[in-house]
Amino acid sequence: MKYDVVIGIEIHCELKTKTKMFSGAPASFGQRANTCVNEIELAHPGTLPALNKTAVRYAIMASTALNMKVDTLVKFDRKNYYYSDLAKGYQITQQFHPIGSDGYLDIETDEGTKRIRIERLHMEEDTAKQYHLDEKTLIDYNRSGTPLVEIVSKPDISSGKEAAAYVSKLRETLFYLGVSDVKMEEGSMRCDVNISLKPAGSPVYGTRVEIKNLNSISNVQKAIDEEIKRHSSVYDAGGSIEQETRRFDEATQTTVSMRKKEGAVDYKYFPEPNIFPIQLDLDWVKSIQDNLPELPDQRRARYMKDYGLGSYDANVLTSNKDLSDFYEEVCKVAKDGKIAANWCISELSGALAKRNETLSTMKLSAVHLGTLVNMILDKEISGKQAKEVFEDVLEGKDPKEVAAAKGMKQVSDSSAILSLINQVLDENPQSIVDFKNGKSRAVGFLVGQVMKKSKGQANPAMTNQLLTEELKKR
Amino acid sequence: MEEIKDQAYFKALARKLMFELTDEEADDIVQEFKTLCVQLQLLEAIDTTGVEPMVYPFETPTVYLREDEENHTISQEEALSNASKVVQGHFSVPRVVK
Repeated sequence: MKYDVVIGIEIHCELKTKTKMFSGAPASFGQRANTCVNEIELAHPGTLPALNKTAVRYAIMASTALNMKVDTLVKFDRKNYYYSDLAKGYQITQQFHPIGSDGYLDIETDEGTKRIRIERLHMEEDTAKQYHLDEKTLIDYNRSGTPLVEIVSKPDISSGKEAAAYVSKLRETLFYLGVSDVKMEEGSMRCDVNISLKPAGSPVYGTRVEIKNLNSISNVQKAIDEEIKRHSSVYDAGGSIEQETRRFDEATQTTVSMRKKEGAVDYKYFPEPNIFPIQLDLDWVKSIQDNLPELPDQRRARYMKDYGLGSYDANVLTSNKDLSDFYEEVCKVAKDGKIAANWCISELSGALAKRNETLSTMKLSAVHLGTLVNMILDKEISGKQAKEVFEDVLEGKDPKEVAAAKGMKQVSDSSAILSLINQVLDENPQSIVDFKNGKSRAVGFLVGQVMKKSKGQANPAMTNQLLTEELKKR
Repeated sequence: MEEIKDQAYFKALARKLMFELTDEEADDIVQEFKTLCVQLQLLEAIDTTGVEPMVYPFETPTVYLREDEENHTISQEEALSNASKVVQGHFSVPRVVK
């Protein structure tokens, strides 16, 4: 039987602020347990939350980049649940008034561009990290209170591939905005998938299953593909799907049940009494919205327009922001953006992959790579020589110095080449006779002689042209 | 006005909040709750037609946002000073798995 696949995705993303959402304790990763906290995270009596201005700014930036309406009256709600991952016994979130609503993100699919609607973006606080041992649970409140945004899509996604495209576009967007590290493997970006299948064209939705703990984009796709197979085969056999939460198991590459849903949990949401509604300054909001950093799509368009890159090259560069930033530095020096792009995409990326390094671990300077590109353009060295020089440029050396030290300057000075040509012609009168008799091979021989005299440094194309002209004169 | 709640209601509520009530305690609460309900009924005499419910005591929103600067962190020793059990800098509690 044919089924329609219905997928919605919730993303939790830690914001890259210096301090917590509601307290001035540091928000950090990998510190000693319980050293990045104060009385607010630990819920000591008498403490009150105070909203982080930068977290609000980041949430506005993300909402705006995702084409959402921004609610300038900020309100919080209390989600009550009794669990040790939040010392207060509740989470402060925005259940009823998300700061961002009704947005979308366009993704590229095999059938062209598809718009994925985004229902809401709201601010909330992260929970503590717990380690469950045999008989006890250890709690580290460092992560507790870290600012989060939760971004909830509409159920507009219909395959694992589309889901991967959506998550990766969202990730790229948040990364370009600089609001989050978006490291799925470290948990600063977390992804939960809701999926159900229904007979093709049916208006009734099937039973929904939630998949949690997807720590990479490829696992998002794999988990969904697996889940689609599982639902189809259960339905094909006349069975029914249970409403439950599953997780992706890395070892078996399948999804496994975590817990059955026992009806909806009642979180007894109510407006957070400790934070009064906050009216944001409209000029401040507008200045944030008018000054968003360049987004990946805009950068791709600019590369194609300003540097004449094709969409493939523009995509390869912008999908890696570090490489893309580096490329722009190279272009400040290099006289040809297209050739600079080729060097960044093939030579540079290849060299980094081969050495298992990243741009930040290499000494390579963008100015040097730009200079190298210009040396090729100015015919100071040949393309082949450039590749040799590049090995040293990777180590942080100046290409001009490397080329000089190796004595590999390409001679493109016509008078210098002419003088070599005339020496060669004087030494080989027989070749001139051969040429006059129509033996074109003589030219090749003579060019070879000039190259030999120049120790391989004469520009071959120029030598060929000048030599032919000189032969005709004799 | 909601119906008056009985002992069983408060015992179930207490269990959800992870504590137990004795019959005597539950009974006390039932009595207190009855009194409270009678008092609240007095408020029903007020005509609130056309009045929007308020959530906060003040109508004017605040504008304060805290600058994102570290202003107060306590030491690990202080953080753990109220913990009954500490293991390697962590709060240690009986195993809890949600």
